Amino acid sequence: MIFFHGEKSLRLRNILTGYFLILPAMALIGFLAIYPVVFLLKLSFSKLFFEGGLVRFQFIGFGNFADVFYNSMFWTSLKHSLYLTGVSVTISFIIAIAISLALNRMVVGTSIFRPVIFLPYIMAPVVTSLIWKWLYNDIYGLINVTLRGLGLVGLTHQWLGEYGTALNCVVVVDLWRELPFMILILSAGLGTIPEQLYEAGRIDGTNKFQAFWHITLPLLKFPILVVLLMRTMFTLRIFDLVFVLTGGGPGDATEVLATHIYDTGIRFLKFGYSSTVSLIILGITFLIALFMSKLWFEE
Amino acid sequence: MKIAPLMKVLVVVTIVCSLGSGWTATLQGKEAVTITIWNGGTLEWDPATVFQNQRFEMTYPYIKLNTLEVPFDAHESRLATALIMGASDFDVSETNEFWFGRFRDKGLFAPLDSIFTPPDLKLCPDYILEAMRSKDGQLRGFPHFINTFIFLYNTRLLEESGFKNPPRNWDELLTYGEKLTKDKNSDGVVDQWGFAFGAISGRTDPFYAIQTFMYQAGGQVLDRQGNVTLSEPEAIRALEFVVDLRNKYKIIPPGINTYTGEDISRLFNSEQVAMMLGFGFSIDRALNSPDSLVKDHFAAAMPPAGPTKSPQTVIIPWEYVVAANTPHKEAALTYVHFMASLQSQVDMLLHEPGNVVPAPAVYNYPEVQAVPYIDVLREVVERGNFFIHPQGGEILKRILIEFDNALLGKKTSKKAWDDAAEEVKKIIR
Repeated sequence: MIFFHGEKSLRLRNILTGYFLILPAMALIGFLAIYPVVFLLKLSFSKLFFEGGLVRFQFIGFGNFADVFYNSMFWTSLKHSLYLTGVSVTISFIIAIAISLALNRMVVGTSIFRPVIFLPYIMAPVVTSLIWKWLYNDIYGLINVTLRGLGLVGLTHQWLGEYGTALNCVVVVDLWRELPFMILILSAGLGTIPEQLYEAGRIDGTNKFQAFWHITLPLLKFPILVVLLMRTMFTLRIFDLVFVLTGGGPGDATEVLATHIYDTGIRFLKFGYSSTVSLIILGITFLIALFMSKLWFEE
Repeated sequence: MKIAPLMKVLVVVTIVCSLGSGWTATLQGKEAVTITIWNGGTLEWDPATVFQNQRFEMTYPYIKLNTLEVPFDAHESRLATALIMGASDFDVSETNEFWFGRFRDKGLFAPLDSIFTPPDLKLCPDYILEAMRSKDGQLRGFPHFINTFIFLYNTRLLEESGFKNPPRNWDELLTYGEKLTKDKNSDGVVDQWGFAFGAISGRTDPFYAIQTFMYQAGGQVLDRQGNVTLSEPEAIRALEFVVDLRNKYKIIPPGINTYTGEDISRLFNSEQVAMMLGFGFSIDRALNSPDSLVKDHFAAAMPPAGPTKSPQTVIIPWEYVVAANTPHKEAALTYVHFMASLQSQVDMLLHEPGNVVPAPAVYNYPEVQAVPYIDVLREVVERGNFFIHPQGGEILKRILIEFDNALLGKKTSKKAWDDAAEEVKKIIR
């Protein structure tokens, strides 16, 4: 048993007690987060094979990384993932900030409007995808039926079945689904900006755009970084939506990194390869997080 | 004390119950056991399985069944995860030929040879049985029914267009299709399509469709020696025909690459499609779906013959497998043996219209003669063909990408199949 005496010892005891108290949480995080990453690393450098009905690992160095590098499907998926993330996050951010500003100024009806806006986000992703799949159907889907009803037959498409439209249709659904999350965070951020700052600005003669640029945006920097970072992570690893809406097709037009991982891991049983792709996603996400954290802490 | 007599009664009741359960447990001299079955999809559409399970539990009262309905889209990933992690989540599972082919040679399915006697093996045609054997010659699965690609046509719509019989070959299919594709209200939008099949990207549906046309043209993905034959003229001819159906003759909906087999079934039932190529269960849907408009005026046939002049189609064997690490091997094997029995196959035909069973002998049973389109189902088993390969998933993926490339006009059929052949060669190398 350890006994502590004096002020220094008391401080040491407090520190140790603190560590002792967070130990269960750290152990849990270690088990749930660190162990899988370590296992992922192991898989990335291994080839799996079956022997006597059991799975065995064989260390193959950077073999999986070379396979990934030379696999055209990986580059196609990466390109689509980056496109999906870039377009969806950018557009949804612009719309979200506009809606948040409007909501912030709304006097009447906010209690109705806010929950309505949040509806897409509380729906199960698979349900969302199935609803949109129906909307996009070329024969009986609401979009084409409406266009035909308006006499705009020339604008109808096989929305999910054409190379030119399929990936953009996925972008639209992702944007629609994730918009409420951005609005929620940004609205909360807007609510913390003191009204006096705008009043002071008005006295100094700032117009609305200047107030937005010099007051709102700088004070929203933290919520903006949070939503951009989280949305980027969510979209980069998107799976359910693509899996249900298009299955990666037509051809490989909507193949993204997560569906590529699913195919190579679950369908082709190349766990080493799919783990390597997962590790690459992890790396990309980490770099983005690092970049954004740098922006944040520089402030 | 008033509690004492009550306690005595409780003790007696407990002893009697214990003896009773002990008697049940050791019924037929066996320990009571519960086995977990992974059923492919909902039991609502599997009345034969429900019926057979009840019969099984009556025949083997010491084996209780815990049947889990695994959604089709989740079955593959659950199976892979459980098998690779060595988890004993299931004792018996249904698999289709793609999932089965992947695991067949990996020792993750228990051998079934110990329970299937030579007469039992006669319940399955040799060409299917051979595919169920792993490299070491052991039987790793046994099909209890076969899904198939079958041709359905709306007799009323065909008669209205002057056709009394279904199309017998590709030329007739085109003639019929062109006449049956109609813009009824002249608004520039087709209201009734002549023909359709499910070809949704990323699923097996388009592969089955294209395979059907390939077999009819005398082509295939791999020959018996395992050589890639996709770029042979027969296979290219089949792809050209399918692409022409959409792009040249315009008798199939242009969005077929977004439709599942179920979607096509619905379009057929709502009379938006006059003829369809689809899964055997489409017969059941046409007969029994509450919203079917074709209940009394549709018929089934073998798909129209291609250049080989011989009608061919695809069969999709659904087999039961036993997990190699199951702690209830004996009970699991008993279940698979029961479900593959002659009586179970008869029950399957009687309870699930459109499903085909492997045993040729079943089709001679008097009670199955009343099953709708029994002659067509018998012909399917005789003429059916299927593709099974340990790397089937990868091969399928590549073929489907190139299929879409041809269908959507990104590549010619020849270029698409040549490219697919190159990729398939790399996969199986």
